[in-house]
Amino acid sequence: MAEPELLAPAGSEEAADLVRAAAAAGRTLLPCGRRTRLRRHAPEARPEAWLSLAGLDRIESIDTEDQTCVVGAGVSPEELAAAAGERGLELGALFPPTGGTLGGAFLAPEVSLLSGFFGPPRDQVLSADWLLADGSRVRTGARVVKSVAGYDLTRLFLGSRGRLAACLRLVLRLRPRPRRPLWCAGPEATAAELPAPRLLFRPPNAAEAIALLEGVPEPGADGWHPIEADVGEAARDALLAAFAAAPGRICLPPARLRKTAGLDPTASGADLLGGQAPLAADRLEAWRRRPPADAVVLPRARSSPWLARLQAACAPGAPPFGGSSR
Amino acid sequence: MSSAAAASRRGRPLAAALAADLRRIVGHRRVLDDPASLAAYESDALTLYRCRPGAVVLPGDRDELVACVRLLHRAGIPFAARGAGTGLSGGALVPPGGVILGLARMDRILELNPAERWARVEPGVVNAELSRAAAPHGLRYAPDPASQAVCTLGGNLAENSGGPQCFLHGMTAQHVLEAEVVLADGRCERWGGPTLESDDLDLRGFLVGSEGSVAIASEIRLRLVPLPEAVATLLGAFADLHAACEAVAEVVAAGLRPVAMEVMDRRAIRAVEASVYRAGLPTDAGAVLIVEVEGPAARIPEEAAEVEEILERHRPLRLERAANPAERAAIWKGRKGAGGAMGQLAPDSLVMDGVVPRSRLAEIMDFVLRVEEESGLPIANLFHAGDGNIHPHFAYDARDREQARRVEEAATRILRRCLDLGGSLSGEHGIGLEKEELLAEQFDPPTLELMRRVRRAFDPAGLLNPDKGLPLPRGCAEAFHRHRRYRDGRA
Ligand SMILES: Cc1cc2nc3c(=O)[nH]c(=O)nc-3n(C[C@H](O)[C@H](O)[C@H](O)COP(=O)(O)OP(=O)(O)OC[C@H]3O[C@@H](n4cnc5c(N)ncnc54)[C@H](O)[C@@H]3O)c2cc1C
Repeated sequence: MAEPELLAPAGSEEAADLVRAAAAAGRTLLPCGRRTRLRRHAPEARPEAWLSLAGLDRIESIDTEDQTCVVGAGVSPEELAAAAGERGLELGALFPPTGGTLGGAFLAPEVSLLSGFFGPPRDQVLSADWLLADGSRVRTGARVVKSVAGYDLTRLFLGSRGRLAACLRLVLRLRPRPRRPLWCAGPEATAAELPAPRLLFRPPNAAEAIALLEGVPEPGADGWHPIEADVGEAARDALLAAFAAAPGRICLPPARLRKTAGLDPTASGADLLGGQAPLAADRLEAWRRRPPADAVVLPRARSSPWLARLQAACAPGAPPFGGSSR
Repeated sequence: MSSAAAASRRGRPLAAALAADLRRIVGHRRVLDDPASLAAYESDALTLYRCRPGAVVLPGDRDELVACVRLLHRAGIPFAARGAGTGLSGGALVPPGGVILGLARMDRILELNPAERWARVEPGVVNAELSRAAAPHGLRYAPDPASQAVCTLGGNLAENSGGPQCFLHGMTAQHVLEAEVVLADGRCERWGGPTLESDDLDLRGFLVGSEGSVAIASEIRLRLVPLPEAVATLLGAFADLHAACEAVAEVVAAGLRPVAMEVMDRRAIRAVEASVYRAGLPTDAGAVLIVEVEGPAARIPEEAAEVEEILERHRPLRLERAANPAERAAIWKGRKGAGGAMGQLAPDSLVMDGVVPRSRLAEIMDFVLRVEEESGLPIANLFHAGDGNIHPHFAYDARDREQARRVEEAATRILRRCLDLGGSLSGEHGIGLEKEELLAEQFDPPTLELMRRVRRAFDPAGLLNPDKGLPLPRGCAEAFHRHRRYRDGRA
């Protein structure tokens, strides 16, 4: 079977035209970003063509007063981090540096290491513009930090891995960068166990919390701040590798770290690094150097029976994004 | 009153055979269909809309609920769930002849897991009860609507309710892990999972805030959060609302993360001080701002001082820190009782709910003052300032048709202004019957049409809480009548 064609529109209008043409021709598309995580999030996908939104890569605005930004779906998390950082802001979600797009990171449910503070990544999306499989455009959500008007289609689409709608544009909530170094301790680490200068802030839901350790005095020789001792070596390395490009330093409470790094297969985020078992050093090294399109293969996402029904509701009559799901 | 209106006021009784079938499921006394009982269910806390249901059914558990839903679905009778009926957008009403499924009897806390910090509850559990049950484990349920002593967790889920603490802790959506749902045809499913992160369609997230029109939650798993080690509650009194709002904007901009930032204006303060909720608030102030910070004991004095420093810059008349838990409790009693206190000022009230970008808070409050002046209607304000979520409160007498019309008109003006400023029609009370027509000003036709199609995917027969949350397509003559049907229910 031939490799699917890659359609790479430079703007929303062009994307809409491509989708309409595909719908008219009965051709199935699957929206994507830079395809860095497809094997993981769309393992069974075999569209006739990819619709990459990576070309929608403009940061349209960053509003420092309201702490929001408007970005094309093709902007990368790193680009946004840099631009927001210049204004003293950051996104309340931190993704592994896969070289992918924000659209991809939000559409394929991703684990963020800031969830403990700010909730899962999709809580950071206030509003978005979408292209449905028939080429029509809709705008969901509102540009404010709190809104319950209308159905929360944003959440529905964000978890759909591109099967319900293609994301064109995102309005994201930003947060002020931490004013001081943050450290967050899990419930098992009491104040006494942590070196005094580091226990500066402990959020209320510490069990799930992860902190940015930024500007903490005296980093270790490797530039990283030591992570608590009982964390497995491999898990620690995996974490450091995963967040090497992050603007700050990460630390997790041990229980959470164990889970996030894949040591506990039942935990949320168990698939963060792809392993069910501790990552061996060589595997870790490979992961660190892997070309973006060759992510570690992960368990395939469950496919909800609602997907097909919702695909039909989103664009009646048009071939659904990603092909029809069973 | 038109004859149609009279009919909706009297209600349309349920067919005898159907009533008998429902009684067989839940027991004789659990089906209410006498006029005196039904009168209590003809509106929620938004009394502008009234419509007497054909019957009220009170299932005692999931199985009874499912059996009722199946029966109603087969009979083609519209129905809606109801928790405590404290909703403020007319959500828990059904069209004439419809059935209300009152879930207040499903009020058991099924499981509390302190180690993993969650609780599994039936939907009729009252919000504050859950925190009370969690407290011995050092935990609480964070979303704290002012109605928490009465409203149910099922209603909270349906409306995605908020409360003062949601500024830090997030709305109900950030606390619902999983729900067992009963679909419109009686099928049961489980949506969500053990964590908020999911690798699947987020049906759980979609359910929260869907105003009871996607599915009925028959069981909910909720996150619990630890009780804070230390708390500091600050009370700033300001000459006017504007100053208080600017102080809020600066705290947000500074990146401080208080748990709550609540503002009350002079009318609200005076209503509280004249009521049983008396909190010793300064009645000479134009506005008070309550800011609470929580966290480790070692940090809190410093964090509170940082907030105080900012508030000082906005020239407060007074700035106090609650000295002990009793003082703190009094402040919150005043804030949370304010709605009730104002409700006592007049026979009816309309609590408007709108959102603006946080930088526009002072601007929208100036506009509210202008509307008050121009309309001659007294408007009290108490709101979740940190999120830009305003609640102008109108106390009026709905028997005075002209006054009711003016109240609605004024509220609509304010809502339109919220939209003009880039905001939203609702931050936490929902669209319900109240704002469905206005929704067409927030979303474009293709988006509204999509919402209608998605709704049909969950409820093809259109029986589950119909007529709410979404406007009918533009130009549809039925829209007018459907709205009137609920409105003119009031004699
Ligand atoms: C004085 C006062 C103060 C208030 N303060 C706040 C506040 O601070 N913040 C806030 O957000 N709200 C507030 N409210 C509004 C109201 O309390 C909330 O919307 C609350 O969540 C409603 O809960 P309820 O049990 O009363 O629901 P109801 O009014 O009975 O129902 C509300 C909606 O939920 C649906 N529903 C109920 N149970 C279920 C279920 N199990 N499954 C699916 N759908 C269901 C109903 O069909 C209806 O559409 C206040 C109201 C009052 C009167």
